[in-house]
Amino acid sequence: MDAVSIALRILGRLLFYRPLIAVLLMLVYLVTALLLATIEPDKRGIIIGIMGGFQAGGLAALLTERIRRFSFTAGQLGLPDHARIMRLAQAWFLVLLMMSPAIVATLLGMQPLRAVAILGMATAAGIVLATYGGWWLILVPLIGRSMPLSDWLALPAVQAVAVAASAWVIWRWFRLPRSAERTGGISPSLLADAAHERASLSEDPAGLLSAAAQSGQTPNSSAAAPRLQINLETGRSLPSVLALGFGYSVAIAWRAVLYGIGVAALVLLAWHASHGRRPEALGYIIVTAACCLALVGRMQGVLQRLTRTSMEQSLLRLSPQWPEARQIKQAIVQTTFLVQRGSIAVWAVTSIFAALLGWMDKRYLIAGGVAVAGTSFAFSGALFAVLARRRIREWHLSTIAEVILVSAGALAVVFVGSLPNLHALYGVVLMVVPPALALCWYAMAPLRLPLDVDPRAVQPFER
Amino acid sequence: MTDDPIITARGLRKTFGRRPALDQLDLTIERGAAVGLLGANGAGKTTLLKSLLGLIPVDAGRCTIVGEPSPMLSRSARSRLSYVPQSPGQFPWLTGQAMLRYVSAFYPTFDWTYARDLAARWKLALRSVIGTLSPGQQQRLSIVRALSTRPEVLILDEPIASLDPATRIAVIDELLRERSRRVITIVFSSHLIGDLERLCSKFAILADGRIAVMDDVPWFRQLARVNLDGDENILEHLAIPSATLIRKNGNGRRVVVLGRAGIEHLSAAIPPQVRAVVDEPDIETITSEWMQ
Repeated sequence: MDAVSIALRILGRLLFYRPLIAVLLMLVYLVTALLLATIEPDKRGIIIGIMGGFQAGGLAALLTERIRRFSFTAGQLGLPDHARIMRLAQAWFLVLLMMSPAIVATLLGMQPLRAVAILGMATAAGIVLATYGGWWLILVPLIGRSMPLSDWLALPAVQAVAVAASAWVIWRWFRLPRSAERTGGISPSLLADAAHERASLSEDPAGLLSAAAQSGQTPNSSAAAPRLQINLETGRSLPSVLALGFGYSVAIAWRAVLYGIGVAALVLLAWHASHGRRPEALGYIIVTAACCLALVGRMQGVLQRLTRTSMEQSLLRLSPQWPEARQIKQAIVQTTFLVQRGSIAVWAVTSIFAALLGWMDKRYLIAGGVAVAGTSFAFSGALFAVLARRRIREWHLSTIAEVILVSAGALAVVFVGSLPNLHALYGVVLMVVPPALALCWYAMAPLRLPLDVDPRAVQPFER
Repeated sequence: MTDDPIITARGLRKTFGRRPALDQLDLTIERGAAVGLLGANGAGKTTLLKSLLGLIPVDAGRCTIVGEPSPMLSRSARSRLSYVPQSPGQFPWLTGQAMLRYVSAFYPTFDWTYARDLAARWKLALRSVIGTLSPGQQQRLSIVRALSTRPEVLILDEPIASLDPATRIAVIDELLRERSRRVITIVFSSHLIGDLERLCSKFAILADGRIAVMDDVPWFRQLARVNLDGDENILEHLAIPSATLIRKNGNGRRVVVLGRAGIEHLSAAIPPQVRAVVDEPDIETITSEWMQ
C-alpha cells in the first residue's frame, strides 16, 4: 500500500476513532438534507457552504488534537516517516472535507471565493480552537456589533483577508506533526519516584514539563487527594464511591458551573449589545448548544471510565463489602443524573437570566428546554442501552437508533408546533419512550461488572 | 499444609473466538500450598487465574475456591481471597494512600498497621499519584494492597516481572514470612523460576490449555534430560516407560525427560542403533521442556 492510501486510512482512523463522531456527522447530514429539501434552490449553495463549514471546523479541531497526541507519542517512540504520513492525512482532510464541499457549494450557485472563504475560515477556526481554546469566540459578537456578520463576510476585501489568514493558519498546521514529534522526542517520562529526573527537569529551561502536560502526559494532580467519606452501610454515597473507584466524579464542579454561567452571560450580553432586542436568540442557541455538548461529554466520560476500568472493577468485585448487583445498578442510574446537574444548572441559570431581562421570548426558551431534555434523554438512554448489552462496546446500532429517534422527537416538538398539536405529541413520545425502554432493559439485564465479562455464563449463578 | 483442597478445577474450558485458552483443565490445590504456575506466553495462565476467581466466565467445567463455586462467591469467601493482577497500575488516578484507604473500606479485615509497616519497609511513595509511579513502585503497592487484606488465598499473576532484584527478593521473603506465620495458600504465576523455587512447594506447568505436569519442586529438581538420535522409524516407535515427557524437536531428534533413577534403566529400553546423550540441566531448562 502506498503512502497516499495509508494516509487516507489513517485520516479515517484519526477522525472516526469513536462512533459518536460518525453519529454527529450523520446528524449534520440529516439536517443538511432537511434544509436542502425545504429551502429555495438558489440558497442551496449557501446551505452546503455553512453546513460544510460546521463539519470542517469540528473535524479540524478533532484532527488537530489527535495529530498532536499521536505525533507526541511517535516522537517518544522514534517512529520513522510518521510526520510525512500525518501531513498527507492533513492534505486528504483538506481535499475531502474543505475543498469538496466548497466545490459542491459553488456548483449549487455560491460564489467560489465566498465558498472557499467560509470553508477555509471554518477549518482554520477549528484548528485555532483546538490549539488556543475558545476564548476568542467572544470577539465574534463584538465584531458583529458594527455590522451583521453576514454583511462583513459579503465584502470581497474581508473575504480575501479571511482566505489569506485561514491559509496562513492551515499552512502553520502542516508543521504540527513535526513540532509535536520533536517535543515528544525530547520529553522525559515523569515518574513521581524518580527524584533525580525531577531535579534535572527543574533546571531545564526548555519548558518540557508544560509541553508534556499539554499533551496529556501528566495526570491531573487534583485527583491526588480525594476527600470522600466512604460509607458502604447506608448505600447513599454509593454513586460517589463508584465514581472514586472508577475514576470519574459525580460532584458538581461549582467553579466550572460559575465559569460556565459567566461565559454564557457574557455571550448573551455581547449579543444583546451588538444586536438589540430580537436577534440575541442566536447567542442563546449557542449557549444551549454548548450546554448540550457538555452533557454529552459528561455522560460519554462516565461510559469511557466504565469501559476502561475492568481491572479495578475486578478487584472491587472480589472484595467482601462489594454491594449487590441491584445496588450497583441503582447507583449507576443515579450517576447518569448526577453528572448532568452542572451543565443543566448553567443552562437553567442562563435561561432565567435571559427571561428575567426580557431578552428571550417563550418560544426560544421552550426550544432550549426541549434541546437540553432531548440531549439528556438520548444520551442517558444510550448509556443504559450500552450497559445492558451482553457485549459492551461504546456504541451499538441500538444506541445510535436511540439518539436518532430522540433527536427526531425533539426536532418535531421544536419545529412542528406546540403541544396540543398531534405531531408535537408524537415528538414527545419519541423523546421519552426509547430512553425509558433502555432503562427497563438495563434494569432487567444481569449486571455486567467487570465490563468485559460475557454474562451468559454468569447469569445462571446470579442471585 | 493439609490435604484439604482449597482450589479445584474440573474440565475447565475457555475459548476466545476459535482459540481454546483452557481445554479440559483439571487442577487441585491443597490448603497451605504455594504453587508456582508456569507456562509459555499466551499459555492461558491469566485466563486460568481469572477463571478460578470467577472474574471471567468459562465455557464449560467447574471451579471452586475456598469451597464455593467461583462465579458465586459469598462475602465470607471473598474476604478470604486476594488478587494481584498482571498490570500493576490499578486506580492510577488516586494516590497510594487514597487507594489503600478506598480498598480498606471494602475489607473489614484490612490491616492498616501491616500496610504502613510494609509500605515503609518497601519505601513506597504513598503520597504520589499511582499513575505517576514507576511500574516497580506500582507493583509493590499492588502487593501491599493484596497482603494487607490478610487473605487465606493469595493469587499473584506475574507480580514481580517489573521489580528490581532486591525488591523481588524482598517480596519473596515477605511471602515466605507470611507462610511461616499462618496458613496461607499462594498461587504465583511467573517466568522467574529461581524466585518461584525459593517460595513454592509445587510447580504446575500449563501447556496446550491443560496442566501438563504438577508436582513437588524437589521432583522437578531430580529430573534429567536425554537427547536421542537415530533412525526416525525406530524413534517413532520407541517406548520408554519411565519417561515423564517425550518431545520431538526441530531436527527430528527426541528429547526425553525422566527421573534420574530412570536413567539406569534407559539402556535397556533403547536399541543399540539409537545414540543417547544424557544431560542434567537446571530446573529452569527442565521446566521449559513442557513449554516448547
